[in-house]
Amino acid sequence: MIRVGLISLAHMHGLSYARALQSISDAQFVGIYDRDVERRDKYAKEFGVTSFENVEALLAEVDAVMICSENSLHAKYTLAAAKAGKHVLCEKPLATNLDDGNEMVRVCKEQGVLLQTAFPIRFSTPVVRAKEIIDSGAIGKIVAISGTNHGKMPPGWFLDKELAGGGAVFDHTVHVTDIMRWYLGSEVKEIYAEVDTAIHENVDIDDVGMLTMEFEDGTIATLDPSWSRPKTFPTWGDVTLKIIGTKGSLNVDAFAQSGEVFSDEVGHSQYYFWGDDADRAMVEDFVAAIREKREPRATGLDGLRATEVALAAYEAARQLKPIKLR
Amino acid sequence: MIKVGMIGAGVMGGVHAAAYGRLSNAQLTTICDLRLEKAQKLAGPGVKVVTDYHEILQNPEIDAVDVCVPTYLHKEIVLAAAAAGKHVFCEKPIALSVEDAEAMVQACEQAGVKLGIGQVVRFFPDYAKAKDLLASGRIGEPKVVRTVRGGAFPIWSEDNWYADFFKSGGPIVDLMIHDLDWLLWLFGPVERVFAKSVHIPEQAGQDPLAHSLVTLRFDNGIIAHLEGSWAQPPGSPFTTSFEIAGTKGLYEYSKENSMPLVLRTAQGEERAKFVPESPLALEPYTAQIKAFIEAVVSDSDVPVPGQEAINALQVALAACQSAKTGDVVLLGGGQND
Repeated sequence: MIRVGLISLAHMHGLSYARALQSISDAQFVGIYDRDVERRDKYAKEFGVTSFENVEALLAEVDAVMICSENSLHAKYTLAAAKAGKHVLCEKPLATNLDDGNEMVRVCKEQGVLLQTAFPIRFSTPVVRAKEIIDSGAIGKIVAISGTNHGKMPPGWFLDKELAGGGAVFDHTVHVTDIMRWYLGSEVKEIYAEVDTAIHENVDIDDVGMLTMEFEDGTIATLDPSWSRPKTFPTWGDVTLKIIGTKGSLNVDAFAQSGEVFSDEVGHSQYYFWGDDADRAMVEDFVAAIREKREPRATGLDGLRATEVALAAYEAARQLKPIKLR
Repeated sequence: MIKVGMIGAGVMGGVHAAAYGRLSNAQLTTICDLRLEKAQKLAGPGVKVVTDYHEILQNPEIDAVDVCVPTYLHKEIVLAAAAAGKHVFCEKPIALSVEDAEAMVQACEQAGVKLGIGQVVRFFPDYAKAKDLLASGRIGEPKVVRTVRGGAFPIWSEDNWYADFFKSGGPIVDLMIHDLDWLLWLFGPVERVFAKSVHIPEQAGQDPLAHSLVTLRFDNGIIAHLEGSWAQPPGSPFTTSFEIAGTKGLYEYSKENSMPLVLRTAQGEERAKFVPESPLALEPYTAQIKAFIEAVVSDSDVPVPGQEAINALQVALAACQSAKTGDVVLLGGGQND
C-alpha cells in the first residue's frame, strides 16, 4: 500500500487528484497539509483523512505527496518532500523560475525519489490514441501543429504574479507544449510570442497570448493559451491540436467527448463531458511508477522543459523577437 | 446593361460566368481563353469565344473586363484593359508584388476606369455579418482573433501553377489573403507580423504540401492568428472557421458546422457521397460582381478597391518575409493611410 499525502489545495485540481487517489486500491490517501487552515480542515473532513498542521508532520506519515499549492511554492514543498525521501507529483507549471525547476529535478534525482509533473492531458484517452496513430506513421512526418489551450479567467492567486509566476501564457502554455514535445520527440528550438493583458479589467497579469515555436526537428507550431473564454462559455476551455503530417493530418480535441446541456437553472448552455477521467489515469500512473520503480509518463524534466518554453515566451514578447532556447 | 468580357476560363472563370447568368445588370458577351475549348464550355447562347484577349479590349461594345487569369498574369492584362478604357474586375490576389499592384491601381486611375478586386469574403454573409455583430457590442471589444482556411492542395490549376509559388504566391498570398483582407476591413492596420511556413514541393505520386501559421498584432492591439493550409490530404474538404474573443464574449464560427443541407446519395455499388450545401438568395460571387457592376453604373466607389487589396497584399508579403527570414516584420501600422 502506497501512502500518499496532499500538500495544499490552492489549485483545485487537487480535489480531482484526491478523489482519484481514493479510488485506487493499492494507494491510501493519508491526509492534507494546507497553509490555508480552513481549507485544510474542510477537505480533510470531507475526504475523511488527517488534517496535518505542518508539512513535516505529513511527510512523516507518507511515501509520496501530491503538491497542488500556488506555483511559486512548488519548489519549497518538492524539496522538503524529496529531502524526506518522499516521491512527488507536482502540479504544473513545475516552477516559476528555472533555478527552482532545475533544483527540483536535481534534488529529486539525488534523493532517488520520483518527480512527476501533473500533465493529465498525457493521460487523456483520445490524446494517447493520437500518439499511437502518429507513431504508426499514418500521417507521415509531422511538419506543423496549431494548438489551443483556451480557458476562462481563473480567480484568486492565479492573478497574483508572485504566487502564480505568470498569467494565461504561464498557466496554459505548458500542457499543449508538453503534448507537442511528446508527439514529436523533439525540443523547442525557438519561440516568439505576443502577450498582453487585454480581455479582463482590473487584472495585473497577462490574459492573452499567441506563441509560435519551431522545434529542433523543423516542425513549426503555434499555441493560443489565452484566457479568452467568457463566463458564459459552455465549458472551462479547450485542449486542441491540429497536426499536419507529410501523409495526412490529425485533429485532436481532448474534450470533444461531450454533449450539450441547456438548463434554465444555469442560464447558458454547458458541455457535459462523458469521456474518460484523465486525472485518475495520471494518479494511477504516479502510484504505479512508485510501485514499479519506474519513471512516470511525464517527468519533472518534462515539466521543466515546458516551463522553459513558457518563460521564453514572455522574454520573446518583451524583446519583440524570437528567442533561441537551444 | 453593362457588357462584360471575361479573360480566363479556368475554375474562377466558371464561377464568374455562372454569376453573370444570375445578374440582370450585366451581360457576359465574350469569353477569352488560350484554351478555346475551356471558353466554349462556359459560353452560353450568344456568347462569343476568343483566344486573344485583345479582341475583348478592342471591342467598343464591351464596358468592363473580368480578369480570371492566374495571378502572375494579372498585371499585364489589367494594364492593357485600363489602356483600352475598360473598367476592370480582377480576381484576388491583386498581384504578387506591391509594385505590380500599385502600377495596376495607378493605370486604372489615370485611365479613369474602375478597378475592383475579388476579395469575395466580404460578400460571404458568414464573414460580412461579423462586422454587424461587433458593432452590436455583444462580445465587447475584440481582442484575440483566430482564422482557419484551407484544405487539400489545389490540384485543378492549369500546369499546376499553384504549386509554383512565384506564380501563385503560395497559401499566404493566394489563400490567407481572404482572411487578411477581412481582418483589415474589421480591425484596421497591422503593426507587426510573425509567421512560419512549411512548403514541401511535389514528390512522385504526392501533391505538394504547404501550410502557414501567421500571427498579427494590429495597431489597436488586437492579436490575430491565421492558419492557411494546402496541406490536407488529397480529397479533403475545404474548410473555413474563425473566432473572435472580446472583452464581453466570444463569437465562434465554422463553415463545417453551419451547413443547412447535407445530401447523401449512392449509385449502384458505390459508397454514399456526402454533399453539404449552404444556399443563399444571392450567392457571394454573384453578389460581389453585382456590387461592382452597380458601382460602374452609378460611378461610385467599388466595394474592394485596388488600394484595399494592396493593404492585404502588404501584410501577406510581410508574413512571407517573416517566414523566410525568421524575424518579426514591422509594418509600423498606417498602411491604410
